[in-house]
Amino acid sequence: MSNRQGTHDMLVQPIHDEMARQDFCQAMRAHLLDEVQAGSRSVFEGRVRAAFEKEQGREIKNRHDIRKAMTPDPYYRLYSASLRSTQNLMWDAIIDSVEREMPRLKTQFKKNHNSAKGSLTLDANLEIPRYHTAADIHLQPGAYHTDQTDDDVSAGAIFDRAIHMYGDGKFGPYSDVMGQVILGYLAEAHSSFKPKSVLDMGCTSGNSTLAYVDALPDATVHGVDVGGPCVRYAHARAESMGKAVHFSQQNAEHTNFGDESFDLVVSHILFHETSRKALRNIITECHRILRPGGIMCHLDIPQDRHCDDLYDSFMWDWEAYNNNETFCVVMRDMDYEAEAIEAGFESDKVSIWKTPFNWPLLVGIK
Amino acid sequence: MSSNDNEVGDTIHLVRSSKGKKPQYFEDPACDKLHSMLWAVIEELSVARDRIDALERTLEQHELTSVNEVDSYIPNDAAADARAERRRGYIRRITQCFADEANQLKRADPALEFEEVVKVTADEA
Repeated sequence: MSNRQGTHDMLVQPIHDEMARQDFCQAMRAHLLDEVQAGSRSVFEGRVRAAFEKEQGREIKNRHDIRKAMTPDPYYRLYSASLRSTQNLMWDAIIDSVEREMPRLKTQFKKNHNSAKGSLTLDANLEIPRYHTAADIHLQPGAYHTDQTDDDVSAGAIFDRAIHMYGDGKFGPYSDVMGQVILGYLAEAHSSFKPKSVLDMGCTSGNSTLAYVDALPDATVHGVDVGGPCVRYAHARAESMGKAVHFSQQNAEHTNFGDESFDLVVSHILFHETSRKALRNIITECHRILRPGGIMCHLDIPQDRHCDDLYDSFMWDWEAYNNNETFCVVMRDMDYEAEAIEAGFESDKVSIWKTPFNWPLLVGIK
Repeated sequence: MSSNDNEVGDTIHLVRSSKGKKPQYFEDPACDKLHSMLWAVIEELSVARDRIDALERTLEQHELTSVNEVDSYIPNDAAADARAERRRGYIRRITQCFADEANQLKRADPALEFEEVVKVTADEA
């Protein structure tokens, strides 16, 4: 079945050959992950494990052993090189469309901004954290933060299209599934909790942010991101869909919101694109800006301890070593609960909830 | 006039290279480059096939077509599904080398080395 992205007037509109390139990248990525990656497990079990254990005189102990054993393997090398090439081609194919559409997107941004129900606050002097400037995360040229023109929305426009392709449409037509998952958890575990104020940290193009606008019509919803082009785009995108959100260019580690400002603070795949110190700062900031009784929910990829087996855990590190999502290596071994307790949450109010697609949700109640 | 040196008139040239050291996957860096080039060619062949498909379908509808018409052609669900199926078949063919290798390892009777097969054919094994 066709699995199309939901439209709005800020979504880039690829012409025929651009779309054909993007369709190819999406299909190739899905095939490499579904079929070729599965084959890599057979390669590991069929020849790599035994060779490693014979050479080392011991069994495979952890995912790092598997990586050392698999990295020189010809099948795995070709798999990694192919998946990385597909990722590069994906960005290039999307940038073709965004570059061609920049005049229209800039005009649409201004139009939506001038009739906004929500708001946009930029900070041209915001220091972009080192973990964003050291290398372009997931190979997106210019990453989230690079302003390439006046009123630049390009990073957000590129990301909004990419997240749909990257997930092969599984994040939903408006790529808000992760927001829906957190809302599903809250409905199930805290049915009487009715937040009046919500903050989405590291909102990027604001996809999951909008899920809270729909589900919590009485709430004021805010989104922050360090990327100026991302919050500009998120703002114009939300307005194009008639949803009022207050977006601002801020670092989630140290926001300008007052103490006890929010009932609910959330993030969706933010953690793994930060650093050890930043993750701690973010949780500490959540504790500061939450009202008593407020809840923080952070959703990210499986940690080592959540994986079915060592091979599964090894594959979750692929993006770290091959796709500039480097902090995954460290983050996947961190003790979230201990970090939350260290940040001020009481131990009996911190928990990990396993989401329907097996990703862990860190929950802390103030 | 814009103050940004990546802008000429209405045209804005966005960054195309990502920052960060690239892993080297093969012994010879030239192999990495050739591999990347091959992927771009593979992609473009898929695009060309989709383009032809659009031309065929628009021609069928109107007996005549134009470049603009093809640029704005949006496949209906049936055509999109047919394209997706053809694209999956194309991808399966060009990644068959992975399946061959993985399947070889899953066999109960492992493939013999060439010299071993020579011995079999010589009735020596």
